[in-house]
Amino acid sequence: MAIYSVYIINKAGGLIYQHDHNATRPEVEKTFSYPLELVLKVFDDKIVVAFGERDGIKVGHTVLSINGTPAEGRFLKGGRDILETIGMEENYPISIKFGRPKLTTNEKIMLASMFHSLFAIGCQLSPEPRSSGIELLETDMFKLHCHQTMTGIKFVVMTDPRQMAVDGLLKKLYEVYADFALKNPFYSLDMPIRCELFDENLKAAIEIAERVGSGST
Amino acid sequence: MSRQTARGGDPRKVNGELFTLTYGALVAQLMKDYENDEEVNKQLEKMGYNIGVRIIEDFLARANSTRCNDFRDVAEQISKVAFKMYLGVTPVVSNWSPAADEFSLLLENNPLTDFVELPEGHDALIYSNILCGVLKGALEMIQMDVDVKFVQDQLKGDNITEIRLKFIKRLEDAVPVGED
Amino acid sequence: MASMGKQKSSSLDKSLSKGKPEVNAATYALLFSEIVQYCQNRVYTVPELQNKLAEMGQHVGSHLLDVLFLREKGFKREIKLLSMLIFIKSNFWKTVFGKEAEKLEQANDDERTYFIIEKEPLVNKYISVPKDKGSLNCAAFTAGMLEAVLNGANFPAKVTVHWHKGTCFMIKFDESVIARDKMIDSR
Repeated sequence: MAIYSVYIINKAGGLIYQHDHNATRPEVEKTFSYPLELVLKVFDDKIVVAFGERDGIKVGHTVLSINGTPAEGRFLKGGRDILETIGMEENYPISIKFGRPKLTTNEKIMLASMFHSLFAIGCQLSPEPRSSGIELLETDMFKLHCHQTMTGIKFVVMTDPRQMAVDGLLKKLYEVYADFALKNPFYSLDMPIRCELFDENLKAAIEIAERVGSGST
Repeated sequence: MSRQTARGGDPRKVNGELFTLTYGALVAQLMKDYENDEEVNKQLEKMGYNIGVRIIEDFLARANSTRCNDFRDVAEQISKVAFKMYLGVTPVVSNWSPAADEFSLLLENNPLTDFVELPEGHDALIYSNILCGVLKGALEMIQMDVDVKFVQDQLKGDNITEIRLKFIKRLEDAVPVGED
Repeated sequence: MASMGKQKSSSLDKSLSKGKPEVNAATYALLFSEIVQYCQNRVYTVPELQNKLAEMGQHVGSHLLDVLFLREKGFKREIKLLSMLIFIKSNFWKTVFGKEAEKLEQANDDERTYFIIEKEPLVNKYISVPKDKGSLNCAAFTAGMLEAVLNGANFPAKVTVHWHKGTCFMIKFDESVIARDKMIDSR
């Protein structure tokens, strides 16, 4: 079982902590011969698969590297244009790695703030008069668990849908925050948490929760 | 004997003397650094406020308490749960105002003031003023604006130590959505 | 003196806990955190901050010694250097910090210097020192306490704090202490 990631959002909607724990993002590397039968396009300044799913390569995956050289947006490290490189026959056979791109810090901050708003919208749209907001968001692939404290801090945990005992983890994370962030004289309230002991204890709590909550298979 | 095993083994407890003396060292330092008692009182309240806005998270994370319905609930939680949990004493809640928006916490034993004698010429010093700041800061984080002050103090010859809390208003703007 | 007969090993620890209820570690940690922040706002450098913390620790230490002597009828004034150090490492540490210190060592090359090693001192439990603070160790406060206790017990010494196997308190005794100890030995 797995806990994928943790987000802590302050009462203004700012992301103050994020940790990717078991975020296994599938990556597929394959050697191709000319011409490439996949259709690629530029999307959001990345090279994305538009058509031609095969061998675990899915529509929406981005090009992560070519012949071991990592991609940086539409270019390879060093400056070569990815589409141009792939278009030239003399570059074949060519080995391309596909996968879901990692979220950048800015994207995470944006998502956290969007979730903060979504949470508020959820409260207001709810037919219940005093809704406590989104506590669980369920999909086939993952669950999002959220605990908002009385003071307005949100602890958000993304897990495998089969992961159990996440409530216990959310409570434990709150304790870790109360101890290793707030009792540290060098931490300022509402600011991003950069404390070694906080990291260590948060990771330990996640690992325990994974073991405890792995359930029966 | 059980007492001793508890001492060795409970990392969540700290020797009371060490605590009292550490607080004493802080007050002494402030009295050195500031010109008059009023400034020291203000500084103590400010530090208390900083502690309050943090200790409330510890309280909520650990005490399993639920949102209070009225100020009477708040008084109970402060005396029976919070004071007990953090200072090991349970003040008596008393002297309610008719509108139930004001009450007193009566302390027989103030854990901050053991072995303390106010030095001469510091009549205006409110030695334990940090407690007012803590209460104010903690309540503000759960969206209550409350006025907190000492009205009696055993250090000044009163029979009992009395802290007065007066509810001013609910901080509506600060209430997180989903918490009303 | 009357109580000397029974339970001499733990009388110190017992009568102190009877004297004063313990408080929550969270309360203490938050108070200490405020002290560190206050000191930090009044100094410019890490050594200055450590000095300031040590000063406040000394204030605590000197009063703590009074309390120990006042409360504890069976509290014996140690005369020998080694007995004093062992007392600090075990009884004193256990009473004040809830457990004995991990190690007591003497420096290889200096008879005046001793080390008390504590992996995680009480005051450091929740503190992560930021990178820009380099060698800062807030247990300078504890070092100040120790120094005042030793001075008050007539073992003048300088106590400093270092990062080594966790936190290491380096105790450097006055020449006079060593000389006195040798005299007692030769008697």
